[in-house]
Amino acid sequence: MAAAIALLGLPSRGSRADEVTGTWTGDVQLRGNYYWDRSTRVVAPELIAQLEAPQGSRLRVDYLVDSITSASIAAGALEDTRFTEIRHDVSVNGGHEFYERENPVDVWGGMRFSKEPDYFSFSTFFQPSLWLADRATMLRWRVTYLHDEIGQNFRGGTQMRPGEDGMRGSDFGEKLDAVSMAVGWEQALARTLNFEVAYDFTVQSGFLANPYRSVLGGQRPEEHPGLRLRNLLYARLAWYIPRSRTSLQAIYRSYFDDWSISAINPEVRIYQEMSPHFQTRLRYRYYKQSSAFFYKGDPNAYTFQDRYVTNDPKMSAFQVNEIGVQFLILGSFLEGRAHRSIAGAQLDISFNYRWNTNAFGNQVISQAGLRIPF
Amino acid sequence: MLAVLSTAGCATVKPYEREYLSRPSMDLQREATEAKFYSHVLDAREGTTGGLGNAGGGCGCN
Repeated sequence: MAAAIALLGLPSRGSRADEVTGTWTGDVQLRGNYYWDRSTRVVAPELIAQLEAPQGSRLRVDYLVDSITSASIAAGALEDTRFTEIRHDVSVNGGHEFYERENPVDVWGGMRFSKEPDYFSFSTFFQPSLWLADRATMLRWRVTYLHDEIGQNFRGGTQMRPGEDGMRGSDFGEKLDAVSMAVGWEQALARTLNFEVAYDFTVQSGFLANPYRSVLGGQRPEEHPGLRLRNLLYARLAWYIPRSRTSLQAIYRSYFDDWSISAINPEVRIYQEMSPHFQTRLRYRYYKQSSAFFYKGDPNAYTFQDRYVTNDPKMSAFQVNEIGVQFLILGSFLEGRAHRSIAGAQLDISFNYRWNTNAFGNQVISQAGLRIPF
Repeated sequence: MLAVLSTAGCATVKPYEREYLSRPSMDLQREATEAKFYSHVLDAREGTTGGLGNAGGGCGCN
């Protein structure tokens, strides 16, 4: 679900600039992101700045730093060493809205760079959107290109890759390219009912395994097919109940690919406006997937003749039950008593717990964000 | 969801009728920033996300 939101849900409109006075507007967001499971901790502070011109042009810059601490053997790696890596992630996006035959058209695009000691990723996307029927209908199309360069840094041990005749980890270098195309439709169905549906098709070509995972007691590196065709269907229905100031949302996501992995992923969310300044969100998400055609429960059950081998828990059949809570506090209760930016600020805090049945174990995702407009 | 779509059709909701649809909790895009990190985690922990420009991330994320 979140992937689909990330795919089709980049903000097409930030805070509105004033076209009459020519005032530029925008906001700054500070976010703290946290992930935990029994082998991995990620702490990722994030800074986002958005600017909107009175003529309808927008700019958004996002900088995130991941600090990843992992017990590598639990991640399937070759040496039992706890290590910490830093990843820098920068994205720059821009957009402009104009009218075509009285219908608003929004073009949005950007680039993203992610760099860490053993991985470099670049992606770019272009996303035009068309509104119809006085913005009751929105049609969206998106194309994304991705290029990754994968290296390998051993943390101790022999520094040699298993089963590859003395190849050092530092000599390892692979590439991955992907193209993704998506279409989306958002529709106001009634005064209290909104609907969204999207479809995404992705082709990935290149190195799709993990250089640190191995099978047969570390004698053979993981080897996945070099091509993957992925299909994702996403739908969301949102219903507002005025009497109780409650929003109910039903989300469904369905996935299949040519590695024989398929998944269902329903989710329900309840948003409750406790007061004009305070909102809560409760969510429950269920996820179930089948295994890849080359997955074996025991990584030592493979042979050297097997074409594809994996030690990746996410190639297995598993389920996730997830619950989450979010609190959203609006600074509007300070209107007239504080600076306009403070009164317009928003603070969100969320906590999600995932009961996961594969080798990754249970997981926690938590975030806090402060948005200050100017 | 399909049943709702078929009954509601594509009846136009006029701008002045969208008071409730404009509530923050009904904004389908409002949580995109929060979803970015969440999506990145799921890329690394579920077999069906990813491929959307979210690769990378150390921790056995490929």
